[in-house]
Amino acid sequence: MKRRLFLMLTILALSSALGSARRSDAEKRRHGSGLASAPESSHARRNPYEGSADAVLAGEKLFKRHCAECHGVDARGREHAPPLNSASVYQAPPGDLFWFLTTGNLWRGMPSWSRLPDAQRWQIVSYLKTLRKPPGH
Amino acid sequence: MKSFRPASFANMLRLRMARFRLFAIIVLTGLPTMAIYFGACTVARAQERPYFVTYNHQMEEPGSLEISINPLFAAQRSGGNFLASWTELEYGARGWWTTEFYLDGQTTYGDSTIFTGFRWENRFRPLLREHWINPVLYVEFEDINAADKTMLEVVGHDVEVDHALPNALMRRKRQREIEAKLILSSNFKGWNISENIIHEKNLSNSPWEFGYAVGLSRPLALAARPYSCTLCPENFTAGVEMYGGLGDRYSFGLKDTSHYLAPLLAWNLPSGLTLRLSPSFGLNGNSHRFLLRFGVSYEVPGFKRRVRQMFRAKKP
Repeated sequence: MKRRLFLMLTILALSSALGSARRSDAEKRRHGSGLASAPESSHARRNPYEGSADAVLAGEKLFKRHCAECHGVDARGREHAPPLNSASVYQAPPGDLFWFLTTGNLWRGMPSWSRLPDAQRWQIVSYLKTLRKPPGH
Repeated sequence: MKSFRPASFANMLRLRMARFRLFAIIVLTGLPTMAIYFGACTVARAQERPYFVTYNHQMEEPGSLEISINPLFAAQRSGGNFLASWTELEYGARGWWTTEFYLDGQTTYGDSTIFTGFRWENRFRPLLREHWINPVLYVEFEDINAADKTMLEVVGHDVEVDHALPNALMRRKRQREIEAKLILSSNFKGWNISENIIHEKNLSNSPWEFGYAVGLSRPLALAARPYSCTLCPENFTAGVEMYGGLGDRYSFGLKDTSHYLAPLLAWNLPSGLTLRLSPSFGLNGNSHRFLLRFGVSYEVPGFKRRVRQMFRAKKP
C-alpha cells in the first residue's frame, strides 16, 4: 500500500513538474518574443568592450565555439535558429543582446549562456554588432 | 583441508592484475576515442560543468549529446583499493529538460571486475528566466547492486567500510532506488555557487536517506583571448566541492556519516574535449582517506540533427 502511494506521489510530482513547464500558447509567444521582452534596465547598459578590436576577435572565437552549431558559422541561421546578421540584432541595444544571451529562451531552444562569464558575453555582443555593416557603408 | 599452492596463487594474482589493467585501459581510452570519432566533424563546443558530484543549473544544449567517462580511484582501508567508473550519456531533450543515462562498473584490486548497474536521471528547470538563485528539479531511477562504488552521491550512512566487503557478496544485493535533488545554483561575476539537497529512497521499504553537495568554481580568466589557444587561463576552471551524508529519516544528522572535500580543475580544450581532475579527501574517520576522480567528456553538438540527416531520404 505504502509503495503504491509512493509511486503515485512520484508520478504526480513528475507530471506536475512537466505541467508547470508547459505554458499556454500566449505565454509561449511572450517568451518567444526574445529580444523584445528584454527588461528596461538592460536597454541602457553599455558594452565595456565597445570599440575594442580585440573584443571582436575574442567574440568571434567564442561565437564559433558556442553559437555556430545552431546559427551557422556565417551567422545566417539554420532550421531552428534565426540569422544573427539581421537588422534587428544590429539595431538592438547591446544591453538587450547581453540580457538575451544571459537568460536565453529555453522554450524555443536557445540555452542560457550565464555559464560564460560576463566579459565573454560582452565579447560575443561586440562580435554580433560587426556582422552587419551600418546603413550607408 | 586444501593445501596452499604458491604457484597457483601467483597465477591468480597475475590474472587479476591483468583484468584490472584491461578494465583501466578500456575505461581510460576506449570510450573517449569513440566520442572523438563521433564528434570529429563538429564545430561548436560547450562549456562543461567542472563538478563531479554537485550539479549546477547548466542544462545540456537542446539536441546535443555529451559522452563522458569518469573513473574514480579510491584508497580503501581493510579491503582492496578499487577503480570504479561510470559512463554517462547526457542529452538535451529541451532547453528546460536534460536527460542522462549512466552505466556503472568497478574493479577491486585482489577481487573482481563487475558491472554494477544503470541509472536514468532527468533534470527540469521550472523557472525559464535567469534569477539570482536558479532552481532545478532532479529525479533519478537507479537499478544497481550494493557493489557499486562510483560514489556519484553520498547519502544516509554511506561509509567507507561498505566498500570493504567482497564483490561476490555485495553484488547479490539489488538496489532499486529513486533519488530526488533540489539543485540551487547562482552565477555571479564569473563565480558559480551551487547547492544540492539530496533525498534517496530504496524502493524495498528502506527509509528516506539524505545528503548534500555544495560547489564553488570560477574560470581562471573571465575575458577570452582574441586568438585561439589551448593553454589560455580562460579554458581552465578551478573550484572546490564538498559532499556527504545527512543520515536518514530515523536518524537525521552527522552521526555515522562520511564527508569529503574535493578541490577540482577542469580544462576545456578547443578541440571539444573537457578533462577534469579532482583529488578528494575524507573529512572524518568514516570516509575514504583519499579518492581521485578523473573525467573525460566530449560533446557532440547537433546530435539530433545529425541523426535525422542520416536517416533522411536523399533527393533523386
